Amino acid sequence: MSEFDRWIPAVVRDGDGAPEVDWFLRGRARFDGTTFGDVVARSMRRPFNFAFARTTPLGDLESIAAGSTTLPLSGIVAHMSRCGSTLVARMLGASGAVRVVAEAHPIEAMLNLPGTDEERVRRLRAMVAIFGRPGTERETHYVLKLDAWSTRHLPLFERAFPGVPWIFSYRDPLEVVVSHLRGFSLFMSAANAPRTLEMGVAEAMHMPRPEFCARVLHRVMEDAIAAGAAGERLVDYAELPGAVETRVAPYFGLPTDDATSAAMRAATTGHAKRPSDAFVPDVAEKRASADEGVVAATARFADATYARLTALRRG
Amino acid sequence: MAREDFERLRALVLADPALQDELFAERVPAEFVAAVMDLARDRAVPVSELDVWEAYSAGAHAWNESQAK
Repeated sequence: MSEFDRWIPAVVRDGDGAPEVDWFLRGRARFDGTTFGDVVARSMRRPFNFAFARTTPLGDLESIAAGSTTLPLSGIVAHMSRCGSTLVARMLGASGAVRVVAEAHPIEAMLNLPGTDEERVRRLRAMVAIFGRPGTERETHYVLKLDAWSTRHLPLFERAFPGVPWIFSYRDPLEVVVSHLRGFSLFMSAANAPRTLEMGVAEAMHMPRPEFCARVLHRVMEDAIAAGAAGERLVDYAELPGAVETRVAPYFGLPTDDATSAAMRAATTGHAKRPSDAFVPDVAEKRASADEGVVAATARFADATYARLTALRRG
Repeated sequence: MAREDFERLRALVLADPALQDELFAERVPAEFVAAVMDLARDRAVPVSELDVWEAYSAGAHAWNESQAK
């Protein structure tokens, strides 16, 4: 047993040119499709992790991974945000047999550090292996759900994990823009414009918000297409929740027995991000609430890319 | 010496999963600090309550900084 087995790498810091990783004691938190931020926030309610967090050089990840027992990676879920990908993750993790690590910020933080592609591939393999250490004896498979902005790194994931299937989860961009206009997300904040659009923050802040959102969504969809999104790799929100059971799980080689299917279906009844709330279909309501500016911005910057994705999905 | 003493205590805790579980179980900061002080006395490590609170505060600050980026 490694001394790091019960610890999760929670923060990757630049460390003034010598990148470091902060590790927190995990406790009983499970990776079942709950977002990584929520899992970590739960463990940060314990004072222990403020006083006794451990810090290692980023370079130690590889030796820590080498000394760990990890699950093989079964599949990767990329997405454009606010598109049902959390439902996908929760359904895949519902049976308890699939470890689903969702939107683990340390991965994106690590990929943004300087380094050669070889170094980044090695670090990525190590970090993903560390997240794949089983938390319970029931966990036999492992799925990684990326942050939306990590879609641009899909080619690097393919290099690091050749042969591991991935999907891109997407939704009509008008509905996604409406969702972003209603609620803040770090992904869609102007502060991240240098990363999402290679655009200055000031320029992003002066851009009409619907246009900014539509441009970001266009970019993420383009990144997915450039990485080879087509056919079975594409999952439209309109296909959920059925496609998780009939297409995604088989594509990833995950269990599809009756008990697993029942657990997946049970996971569809609640709101994906607030499981205690009932799921309420919101397509019509979102579309009806979009004003002319939102419709125009989406039509100008994102609708054609969405149509391309749909055509690629249908082959 | 306070910092070195706290680092000694930290090394003890990080080497012992049972101690980690015991301290992790504490949810209230003041009770956590009291549990750490009990441990320090038990192991004859001369740390003060202030040392423990400072380590706790520094960790909280580092966490908040990391979330702001």
